[in-house]
Order: sequence, then structure tokens, then C-alpha cells
Amino acid sequence: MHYGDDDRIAQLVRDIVERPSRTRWDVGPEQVRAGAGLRRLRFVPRPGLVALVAGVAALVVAGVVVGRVAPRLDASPSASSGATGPSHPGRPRSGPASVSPQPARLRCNAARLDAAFGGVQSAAQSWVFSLVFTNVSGTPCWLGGYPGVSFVDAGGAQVGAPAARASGAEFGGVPYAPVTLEPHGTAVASVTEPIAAAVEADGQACGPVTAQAVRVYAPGSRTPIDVQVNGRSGARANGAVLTVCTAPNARPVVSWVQPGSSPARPG
Amino acid sequence: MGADDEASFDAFFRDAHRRLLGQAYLLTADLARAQDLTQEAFERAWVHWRRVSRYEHPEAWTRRVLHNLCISEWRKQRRREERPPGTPVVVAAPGEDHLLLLDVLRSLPPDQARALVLHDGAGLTVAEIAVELSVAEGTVKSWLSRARSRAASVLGAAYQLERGGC
Repeated sequence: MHYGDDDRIAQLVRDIVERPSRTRWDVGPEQVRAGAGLRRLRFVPRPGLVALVAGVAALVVAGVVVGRVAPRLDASPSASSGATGPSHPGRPRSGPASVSPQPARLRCNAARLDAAFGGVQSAAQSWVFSLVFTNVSGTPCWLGGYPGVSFVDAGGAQVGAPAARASGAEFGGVPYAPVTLEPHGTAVASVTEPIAAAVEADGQACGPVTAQAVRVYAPGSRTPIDVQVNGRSGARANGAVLTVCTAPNARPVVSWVQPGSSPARPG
Repeated sequence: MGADDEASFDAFFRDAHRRLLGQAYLLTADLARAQDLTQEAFERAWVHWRRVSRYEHPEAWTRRVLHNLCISEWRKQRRREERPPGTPVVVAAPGEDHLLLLDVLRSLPPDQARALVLHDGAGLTVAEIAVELSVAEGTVKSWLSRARSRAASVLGAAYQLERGGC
């Protein structure tokens, strides 16, 4: 080891410790206290409070069960309603989420989310399809950043390259605004996939492989959700989505999640 | 808890949050995860604030909770050994050194990584770390030395490659 290595490592460690402080968005103490309010029920079961805690716990459990089951029944119609446009202005506790300066306390993890195929549109030299995330839990949660997106075959093996992230994610801060999802609320990410002709016009063979599903990791989640590509659009377009070019220049691109439920425009 | 408690907690949060988040980031190499765990540690501090606020170093209590959370999270991840095709990058473009060091930390036994983070990241002395982790000072020194020599060998090799050396 060279003299000075320890200092260099110490400096690096300090740099990294300070790095997150350059991000713009973070929680405040108010949210922490609010979150702890829920937690306290679990942590401080004083004898006098046990009955109360049990009652509240039962309510919470009931809420979770209702939250889990009810939105699932509603998930498909909710996702498909995006195609008809904003024709449900007064629909309660459902539909597009909002960008909120005070995000929900909980991150939407895989257990709280359902991911669905939201339809495909053709665009210049590409197919653009959307992935709709629905909060299927009974409590608001937030989502922010890019989902991980790749294609998988029938055996679950990855096909082609995973999607790259769309530009616009300038470094120097959190490159997204967290989106708050109310129960049943949705957020959408769009994936742009080059058509075979565009790949070939660029001088590479497409090397098409047929995928079975789109594997999605919600932002910040490590649990995959395999999304079936069906419904909504014609079989031809769905087939095109699942025909994946394996050429190096054919990498799909994914946007970060945005409020809404309908396919975002390409770009 | 009253308004006084809230005010003292908020002041504590504002003072300590960035530091602890940075340490959690070092121990998880994932900012989103670090934010979640830091929030959880502060929530626990607030739940016990009556008691924690009377401690000489509420930050040390919270730090211990946080590091434990990070390390147990880390173990879970190691067991899964699964990473998504793209973990969202949410911080300023880190340098090659930073990524290497984060990798080194994740490859170390948790105790060694934690000792390095406490010493160089939190600025604790060897004696303070020994108290915080309830081990002998000699143990801390040995952890630190192993962590550093591992980091130095990885970073040193990268430097030599950069310079085109052997």
C-alpha cells in the first residue's frame, strides 16, 4: 500500500457521504413524524393500549385486504379507461396521479403495485408502448424515476438488451419528480422500441427474437413483474412489440414515470 | 408528544439527516434505498424521542439503528443476488473512484465496511467506534486496516490501469 492511500480513501468516503445532499428532493421531519405515528402502534404497546392497538390493527388488516382485492377487480377497466380519454373527470380516488410537492410517505414497492400493458402506438421509426402502474394498496404511495424494462422469453430468460433511460435525466440532482399514487391511482412510463426497418436502415441486421412478456421493475424495486402484452391494440402491433431486435443499435428507451394512465407521446 | 418535542426533533432531523443519508448511501450503494432506510431510522428515533432526546448523542442512537438497517438490507440483497437491468441512477454522475469504492464496501464483511464508514464518513475516532459497536479498539483497528487495504488495492489497480502502467 502506498503512503497517502488512507487519506485518499477517507476523502473519497467523505465525498460520497456528501453526494446525496446535492439532491433536490427529500423527506422532511414532518413526514417522518407522520410515518412514525403509524409505527408507534407497533412499537409501544403499553398494557392499557393493547385492546386499542388490537382494534386498530384489525382495521388496518381489513383495510389492507379490501385495498388488495378491490383495486385488482378494478385494475383492468381502470387501465383501459385511458384509451377513451379524460371522460371521467369526477371519478373518485382513481385515475391519473398527481405530482405532489409533499409526496406520500411510502414508496410504491412491488407489493403495492400492479403493472400492466397500456397499449401501443406507432411512431416515426418506432413503436411506443406504455406501462401503467396502479397502486393496488389501500394507502397512497409514491413512485419516481425510471422503471427497469426488458423482454423475456417463455422460459423467463432475457431477450435483447434492457431498455436504456431516456435523455433528460440531467445529472446533478434527482432527475424526476415523485408521483403520488392514491389508491387505484396510476402512473405511466413509455417505452420506445425501434422498428426492424429502422434498425436495418442503420446498417445492422435486426436479428428478431420473439419475446413472451415485458419484464418490469418498478422504480426502486428489485422485484420483477412480468407484463403480458395483449388487449387494447391489434394483434399486429402487439406482435411487433414482442418482436425484439437483438442488434446492438436496437436498444429500447424508457421514460421516467409520469402521472396519468394513457400512453405518453414519443420523445 | 408536545410542540417542544416536535421542535427539538425537527432541529435534530435537519442537523443530522444529510450525514446519516450519506452514510446509508455508502452502506447500500443505492440512494433510493438509503433514503427509505434513513427515513425509517428517523421514524424510530421519533417514536422513542422522549428517551432518545435525553441521550448525550441522539445521532449516535439513530446512526446505530440506521447502520443495522442498512446491513440487514445488504444481507438480504446478497442472498437474492439479483439486480434489475437498470437500478435508477439518481445522483450526480459518480466518478469511477466512487463506484469502485461503493463496490469495495459491498464486497467487504459488514463490520469492516461499517468501521470505515464510521471512521471516515462519520468522523468518529477508533475509541468512539469501539464504544458504538461494543468491541475492543484493537478489533476496530483491524477492521479498518483490512477495509483500507482492500480499498487501496482495488483503487490502486484502477489507477495503474488509467495511467497505462503495469
